[in-house]
Amino acid sequence: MNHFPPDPYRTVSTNSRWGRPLASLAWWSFIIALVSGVVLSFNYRPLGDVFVVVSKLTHLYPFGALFRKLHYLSGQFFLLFTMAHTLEHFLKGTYLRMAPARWTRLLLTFLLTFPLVFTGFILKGDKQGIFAGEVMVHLAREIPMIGSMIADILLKPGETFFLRPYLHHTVILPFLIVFLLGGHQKRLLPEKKLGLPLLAIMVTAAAVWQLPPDIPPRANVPYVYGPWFFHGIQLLLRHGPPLWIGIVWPMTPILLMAGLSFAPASCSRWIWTLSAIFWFLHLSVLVFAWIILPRLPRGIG
Amino acid sequence: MENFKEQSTDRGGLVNKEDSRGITRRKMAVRCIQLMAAGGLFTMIFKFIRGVRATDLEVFFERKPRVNEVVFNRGVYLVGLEQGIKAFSDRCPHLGCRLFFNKEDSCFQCPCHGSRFSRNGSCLQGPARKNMVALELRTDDKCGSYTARLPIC
Amino acid sequence: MKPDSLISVCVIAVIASLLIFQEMSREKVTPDSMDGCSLCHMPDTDPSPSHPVGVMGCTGCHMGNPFARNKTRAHIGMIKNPGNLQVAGKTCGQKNCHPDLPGRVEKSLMATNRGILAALQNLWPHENAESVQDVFELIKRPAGRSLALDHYRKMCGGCHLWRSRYPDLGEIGKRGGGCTDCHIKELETPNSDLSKKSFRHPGLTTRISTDNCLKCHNRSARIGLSYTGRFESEGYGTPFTKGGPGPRRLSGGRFFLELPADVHHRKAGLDCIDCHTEKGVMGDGKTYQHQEEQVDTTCKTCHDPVIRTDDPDSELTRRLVQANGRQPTIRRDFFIMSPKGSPLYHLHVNSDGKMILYRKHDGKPVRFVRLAKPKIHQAAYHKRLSCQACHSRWVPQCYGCHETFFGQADQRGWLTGKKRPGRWVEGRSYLRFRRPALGVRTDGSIGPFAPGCQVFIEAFDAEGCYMPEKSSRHLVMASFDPHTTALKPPTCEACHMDSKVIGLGEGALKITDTGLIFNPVYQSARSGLGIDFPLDAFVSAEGRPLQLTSRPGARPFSLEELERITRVSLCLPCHDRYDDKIFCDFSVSFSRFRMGEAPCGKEAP
Repeated sequence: MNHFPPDPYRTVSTNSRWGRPLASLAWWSFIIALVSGVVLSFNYRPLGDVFVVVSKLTHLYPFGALFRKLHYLSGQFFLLFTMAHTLEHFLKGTYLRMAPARWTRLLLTFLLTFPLVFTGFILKGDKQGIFAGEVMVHLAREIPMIGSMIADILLKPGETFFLRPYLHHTVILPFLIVFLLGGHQKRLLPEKKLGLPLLAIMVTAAAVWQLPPDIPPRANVPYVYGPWFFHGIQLLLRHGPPLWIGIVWPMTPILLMAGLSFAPASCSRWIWTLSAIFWFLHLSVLVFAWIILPRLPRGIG
Repeated sequence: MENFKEQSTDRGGLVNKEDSRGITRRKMAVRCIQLMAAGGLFTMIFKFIRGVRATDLEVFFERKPRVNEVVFNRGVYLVGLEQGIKAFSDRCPHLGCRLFFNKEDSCFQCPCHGSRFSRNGSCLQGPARKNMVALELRTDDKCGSYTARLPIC
Repeated sequence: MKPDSLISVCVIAVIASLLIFQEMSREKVTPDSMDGCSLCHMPDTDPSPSHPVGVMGCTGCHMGNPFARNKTRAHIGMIKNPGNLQVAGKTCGQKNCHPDLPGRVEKSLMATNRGILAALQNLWPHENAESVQDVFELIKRPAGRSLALDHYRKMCGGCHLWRSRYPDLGEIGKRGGGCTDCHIKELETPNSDLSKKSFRHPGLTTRISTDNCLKCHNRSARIGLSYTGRFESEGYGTPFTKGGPGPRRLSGGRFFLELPADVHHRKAGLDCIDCHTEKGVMGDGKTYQHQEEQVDTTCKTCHDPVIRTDDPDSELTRRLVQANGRQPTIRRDFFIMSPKGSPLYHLHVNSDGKMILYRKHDGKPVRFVRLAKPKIHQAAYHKRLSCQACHSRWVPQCYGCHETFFGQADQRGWLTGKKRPGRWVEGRSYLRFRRPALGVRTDGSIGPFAPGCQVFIEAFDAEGCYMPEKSSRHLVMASFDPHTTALKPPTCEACHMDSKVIGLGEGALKITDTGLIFNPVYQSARSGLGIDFPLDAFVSAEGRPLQLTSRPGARPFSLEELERITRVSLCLPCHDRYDDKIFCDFSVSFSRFRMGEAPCGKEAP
């Protein structure tokens, strides 16, 4: 049984009954998302009236809704399984037995899942997606010195609003993730048997589950929501400075986790505890936001 | 029948017969289901990629061209001939480059491979072997306008 | 194959088969449709030839999700009335459609109601801290304590473009709706029809009929009624028909009498839009305080035009002609512009110099004269007279507006549709049709004035106690064009010898050496009004203004002007021609008469 925080002076097996399946499920979700994304890209165009493009793709083209839901669900599963997998190794203290560079590289992969899903949210082209893009750019601009440059790389407002997020979502981020995983995924491929059941579950879910409604860009709505994992930050951004809430606050637990493998043994438990506290706070704010955001007073749209 | 092996298995009375290729009925059934699943998935992918058929384009001309006059609008040439008015697609029937009207020679010409066509659309010089594509044309007698239907492919 | 993999494959195969079957049986959107709305809604008529549903689709105007099959998803963000000013910038005002218009309309007086709000806040009991400039500010605010604004919310606020069309019944339900307030041809399409496969879509038009303007312009100055020859009568509904009130009815339980309509309506059949240009009605993007600043037409615009040989805005002319759809295609060598530069595309000048107006609603030609009779129109002694001063045949004059505010009752406000504490009850002293009183307008010209408004306010609080601090009165005479233009002006005596027209009111006027002596008919004090002058008196016989005016600089005639006007009346019985030499310098002529040097009469009165 593991002890928390993991004891740097104890050798604990990093294998567990759930470890490999979780990772495999994350990897298979990624593959399903990749394949369904390629299918969608035949009829998706990130230029012009993207909302109409997505509406046509979803409702007009045969099976468009299915592939869109499959892509969405597989993306969310990829994020969730990756989080679960990372959490598992965080709790077990795998960083204690792993080269710091490798731990950091894998952590970066985990970090990149968030912008991957976020850019996918932007690409749906509705009011929520557009506003999410605007918020992303403005948050990036808050970073001192290099903020403008990062914002330009992420998104260029105007006629080509969706083009750069599209490049990030379809090419750059998937490529980076695969590259950063390196040989890590070779350990997951033996779990091939999980692929088909996962696909079956996702296809079934995609057939019966309804997508959240797309909000037309011109619609007057009193409140616009970002992606589900962003709601906590969205709630805090109503009150706090954007740089601290939008950049520093989410990055802090990741940086602490990255620091775990570099920290001397005497400090690692404190850093671990601090990191755990931050994650707990994130989760609490997120749950609180899910409850409180729909109940906030509405203004005139 | 040396190649035929008969095996019986206690699986609820199911007799698992294998032929010389080692395929059992059970395996055949599994293959069929796999094919159905794969076929279903590929059918859906193919239909989605193919999308919906785009509509034909209607190209409007305000007035009737005079004899020997050629008018162009949105991919359609409207030609006034002695025998009447004709509409042609501006795509070369060879490989699809857009034809231009050479006023000096009074013929349509392809800038890609040099095919030439007369004003009534017939092929004068290759490498194209077919005539220009004639389009469906309708006229509004009240205001003298013409509308050509250009298929979108 | 392992059992769990086999199950997965089976599940995938079954789901795929079901989905393929479902797709094959799903109704397809026809290739010609611009969006998927036609699966459930297919109008058989287009809103207009320039708004064909088959080309533009529905979501271009009505928003929503263009291809969603599910009703809830498809209707997210959908707008039933795209002309609503709250959304017009995104619908009618889209980049490729009418991008400049919603911004102009939002600043126009029909949207801001600035004049009405300014008048109320300046003259009625009002809390300055609650002051607003236009109605959009008022909509956003909760009701306060100002009686002026409360009156607006409950009594005047039904007539502005920010108001949502419906759900009220009758005339009030047809007011408002932003762009659609004017541009929709009224069509009663029940809501239940909209979900049918075929229904009649309400039509859009630029040929707005006078009846449309009358939805709002039948109150207050009642210019819409006057233009069409209707006078709001005393409310009995006489003459009775079959023992009951007659058929000449107006909204709000009112009745009307028929009087001579404006000549432009009666003889020429012109609608309001034949004179009032799009810039004058929709605004030019500037914010104006009063209607005369926004209105983009005068009598001279047509009757004494500035004729150009070039069209400074031929593109706009072409678009307006195309949008109208009724103008004949004729070659134009001459062009006429409105005072603010709108092309008057329906006005033509023949080669012989004659004017033709092609009516906007049907393109029928109307030939008319330019400013004729120069001896009359260019007479130096009448140079201050406006066209309306002579050519307005009558004006409805509503004297004494008695407003009582009952704090203990409720009344629905027009801005929110909700009931709020406080109820207004309104009544008048009397209503007349008569030639208007004349006075001096802000620009120095002489024009007609009518009561606008003579308000007597009594206010009671929520306990029913009288509130003296919120009870007041103010009597205002306002100048406006009565829209009762007559071809023939009145006789000279009708102005110079009529005490009512010169502003004294109805009564007996005596011109003496020592001044004017006037005995009014109406006795205000004895009628319990608490004022010492008649309601129809704009000025006293001593030249003292008796009532306020609604514009700075506007006033009744001064004593000197009254004496000069009435003095002429003494000679009119014999000298009734415009070109009579005595009028070249009447002061001199009158002095000669007094001195006995004139050929006529040796005795001075």
